[in-house]
Amino acid sequence: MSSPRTAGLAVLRRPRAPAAAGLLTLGVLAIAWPQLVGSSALFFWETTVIAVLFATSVNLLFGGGRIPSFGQAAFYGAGAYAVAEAASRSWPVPLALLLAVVVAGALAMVTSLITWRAAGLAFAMLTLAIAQAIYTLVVQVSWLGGYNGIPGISVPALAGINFYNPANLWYLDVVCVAIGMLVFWRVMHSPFGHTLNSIREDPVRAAFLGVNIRAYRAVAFTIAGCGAGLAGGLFAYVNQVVTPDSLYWTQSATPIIMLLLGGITYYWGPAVGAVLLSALLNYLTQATTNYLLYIGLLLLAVLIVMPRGLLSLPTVVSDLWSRGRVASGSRSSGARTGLVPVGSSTDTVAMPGEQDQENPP
Amino acid sequence: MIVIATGLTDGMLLFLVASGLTLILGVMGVVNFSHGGFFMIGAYLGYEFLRGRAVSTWLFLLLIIAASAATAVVGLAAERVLFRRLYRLPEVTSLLGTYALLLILEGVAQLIWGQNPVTQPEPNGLVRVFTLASAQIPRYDLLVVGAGVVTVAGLQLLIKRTEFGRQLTAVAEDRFMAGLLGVNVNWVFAATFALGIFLAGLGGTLAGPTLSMVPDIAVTFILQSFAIVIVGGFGSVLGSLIAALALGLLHAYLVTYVPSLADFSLYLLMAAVLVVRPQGLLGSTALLRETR
Repeated sequence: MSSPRTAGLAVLRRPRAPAAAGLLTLGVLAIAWPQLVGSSALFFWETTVIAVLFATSVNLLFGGGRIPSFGQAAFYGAGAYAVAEAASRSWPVPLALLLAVVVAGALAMVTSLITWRAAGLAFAMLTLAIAQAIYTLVVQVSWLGGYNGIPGISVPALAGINFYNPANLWYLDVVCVAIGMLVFWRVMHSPFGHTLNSIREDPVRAAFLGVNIRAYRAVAFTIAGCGAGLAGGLFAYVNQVVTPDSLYWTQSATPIIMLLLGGITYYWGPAVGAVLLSALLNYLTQATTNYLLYIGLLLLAVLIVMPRGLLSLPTVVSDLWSRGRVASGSRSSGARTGLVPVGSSTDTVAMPGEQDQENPP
Repeated sequence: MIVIATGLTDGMLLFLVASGLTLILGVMGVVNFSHGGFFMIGAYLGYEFLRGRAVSTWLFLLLIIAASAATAVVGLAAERVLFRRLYRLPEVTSLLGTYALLLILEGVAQLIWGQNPVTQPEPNGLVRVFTLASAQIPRYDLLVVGAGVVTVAGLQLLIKRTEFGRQLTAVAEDRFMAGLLGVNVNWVFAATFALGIFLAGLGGTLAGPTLSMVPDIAVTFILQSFAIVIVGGFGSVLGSLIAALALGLLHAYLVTYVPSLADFSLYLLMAAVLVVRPQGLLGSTALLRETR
């Protein structure tokens, strides 16, 4: 464990080779995946990587700025419906996905303006209500198909590539998700992202330092909305039918569960959580009708034992280990504290003020 | 007339659920997603006590209270075993903890009662309608409205006139200070949660005869209650009463006269109130403030 004061800089000092190797492995896996899993399982994996992008976009809010939005389904669904409409007019894929991003982003911007003055729990409940109002609206609008949604979405061929081939659809999916993930990585590690982190740590202090915290939150909310829109748009292509279910409020809760399972404080936390939850749901829905119970129990267990998610497992273990050795006095703060900067990867960094008084083991 | 009666009845049911929610939010600072789950458990327990038999009104009342108390016991157990561990977490995390509890409750209900809807008839004495100003009003509505009125009066007495009410207000105001002054915060939390869940159970058992019960009612009912809490003002019981009745009446009116807008009544009300008063009708601005 690095010392608390310098740990924040660990990202900068860390050699790039392991990271590059990791990304290379991911890339090779993505290319070989259709051959590895077979085309029947490909649909599941396509939806899973979409969930990875969706959860990562939500983590810009929760992990990046402690902006508790419970209405991200609205933007996910907006993206899905935008692509469905564009596909029915045979728009080319990039244009349709751009439309999804723009529509969702615009909707998110309007939402952030409506909720401008709210923070914390009030914000959570307002976003939930707004998203649910949009759901109610879509269900009633006949040209969006009402409860039945829009079926029969096909992916028009792009530059001679035809997407009836499942592997090609997978590649389209993965490339778009990778672009989205890259954008979120850049945003979280930009000056904007760091300012957002400072608002998360102490909004009052950030405001006194001259940061317009409401504007920062609104911009973060809009960017996250764009990401959700891209994920929703891809989902429309993969699923080939869009229903109002993609707008329902439980759809907002799913990515939050994912990023909490994986770890809200890590860039890859939502991704890990998304893969885990998707795989689990896929298995449980086949094995039992009663999957809600097990998901709930798992979530609660993770919250209580590892409030910082599964990626904090090494920390929790080393915490227990050092606690066993010291056996007295200084309570290790790692597992208790809430949030650490996103992007600190698997290094543990507690809030500076919290660990200052702590003796390093 | 029938519009007013239906509106008041629906509003009272909503109020019963929302009052517990706003109490838990105001005192404990927890957005309790599992509230809808306890509402559903209450409805099922009411069914379980009666097993779909129609009974006399007095027995029905007794069983409703018994079922609500049983729900409160389940809630208390959940608070002692699970919820207690969530208080020390950041509010967003604890909010998800309550969502996890909602999933668990729904899963358990599926396990016990299955996915097929069950129905509970109204008690014998209240099946018929009575006529008031040439409108046919179900007698069951009277029971619901009566229960709501008793609840409002009881809550006001409890909060304003008893020692427990004073402790509760103190904890809601500043739990740290209240603890220093000798209030057993832990106990107040447990009691508040049990009370809130009792109200959720009461709402559930009373709503039982008016809906067909599936585990999903946990998810559908909670959203309206949240909206009521927002509109009424966080932590304000009277505010949620006004908001719930207003919503019930507005919805009943729109269903009759402008059906295409009926589903939006919730959002119309929210928009109308929140533009003027972002903190809700009777809320304080405390919860809108920035927190560390």
